[in-house]
Amino acid sequence: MNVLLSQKDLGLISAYLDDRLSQTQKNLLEERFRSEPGLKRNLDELQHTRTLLRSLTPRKAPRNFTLSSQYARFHPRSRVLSLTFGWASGAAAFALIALFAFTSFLPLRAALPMAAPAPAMMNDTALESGTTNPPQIITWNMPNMAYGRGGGGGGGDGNSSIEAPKSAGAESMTLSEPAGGGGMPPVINEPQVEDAAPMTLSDSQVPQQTFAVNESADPSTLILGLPQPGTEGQQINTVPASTSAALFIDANPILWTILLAALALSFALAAILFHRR
Amino acid sequence: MDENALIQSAMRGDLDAFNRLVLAYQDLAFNVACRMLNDDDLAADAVQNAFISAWRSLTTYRGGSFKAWVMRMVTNGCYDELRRQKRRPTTALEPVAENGDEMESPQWLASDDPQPETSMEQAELEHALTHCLENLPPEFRAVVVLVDVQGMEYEQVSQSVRAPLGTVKSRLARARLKMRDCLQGFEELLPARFRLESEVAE
Repeated sequence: MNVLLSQKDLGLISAYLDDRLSQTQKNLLEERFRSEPGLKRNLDELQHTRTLLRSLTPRKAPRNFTLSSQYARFHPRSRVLSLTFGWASGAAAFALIALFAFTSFLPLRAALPMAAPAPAMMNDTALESGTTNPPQIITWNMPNMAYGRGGGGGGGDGNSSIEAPKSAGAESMTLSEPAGGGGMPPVINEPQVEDAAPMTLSDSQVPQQTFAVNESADPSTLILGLPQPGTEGQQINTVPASTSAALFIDANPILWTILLAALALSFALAAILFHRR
Repeated sequence: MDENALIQSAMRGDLDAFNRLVLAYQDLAFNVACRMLNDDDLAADAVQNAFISAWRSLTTYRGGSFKAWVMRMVTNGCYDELRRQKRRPTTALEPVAENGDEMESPQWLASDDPQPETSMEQAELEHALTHCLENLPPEFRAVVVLVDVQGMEYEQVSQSVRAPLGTVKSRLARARLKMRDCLQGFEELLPARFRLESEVAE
């Protein structure tokens, strides 16, 4: 008849049989064997089971399992090369997909910021009644495309309409050199506004603190990098600093696509070749 | 040449060095596979495939017990075969006696022992143990075969079955308990010298 054995006691007895207990644990368990006959019986039965298992006759291999000379052609190192080329092929394919996504979506991302400030500038224009400054036309990055206050197409009438980009070739967008004239927008380390005239706030909501860029800076030029007053009508091409990577890739995306595709294909072929060896 | 030198030589592509390692471990591997699969032919296939896998993936050996590393290949091969059997169960063609009843496989009756009485007793024990091992779940069976039948250390078994040490200890304890419960059904059939002393006394 089997005496109920807890999982903990079972583990202790099993470890005791293999001499895997510490001396303290062994002493405690042996004391329990003396005081608990049921536990002692379990020990005897498990010990007997282990003895029977160890008495199994070892089986001899029916033949030699040595490998024939055909396996000598397979070099273990070729597996490392196969794995290496496999991973390289995967990385090249991933880079190719990333390049495709980057070049596909970059024109869309570049177009988004252009629309956002336009309503604000429209409000600013509406609030500033009586202003005599003509709207400023700024072309960023894409010649013949107008953004910013006053909308597109060279308006001096204060219209705040926005003209859609004329160029639809987002994938083949090229960066042009600054066309001169207004030069680069001012680089501002600390926000400073000389006159309190924010773009989206009414006059009654002008903030108290003052900031200054230079003596004649228009506040609206600070963040957006709009040209200085007096430079209206000049085309200013700016190159956002964050797209330096895009510069390099966009210079010749087709070349990069072909290169990455060729790399992925050649690495995959090499991986297959080494795997078959 | 010692084992480490043979291993290093084999990793450089020396097939002869690898074959010497095969000769050193093939009996152990075949034993384990036999106890796991309970079929000599399947065990031989599993062992051959294990050594082929070992040759192909020799670069993955990172030191430690080479014995445990080889046993890992063998146990994995046995697991694969057991899973395959579970997916596609087969019916063994057993010989039929004159009265039409199926006979059990006569293999367990065969013995190399010159004394018939001893060989018969040993055969009965083998039959009982094989039957009880077959009833264990594969992961329990692997642990008890490696530890109790082959005498491997816990750490080596942990490496072979790719399980933590605590899991190995737990599986071993539970496997021994299941074996004990199963063998008690054969206790009356076992010869006296294989019975528990207290049972014999009763």
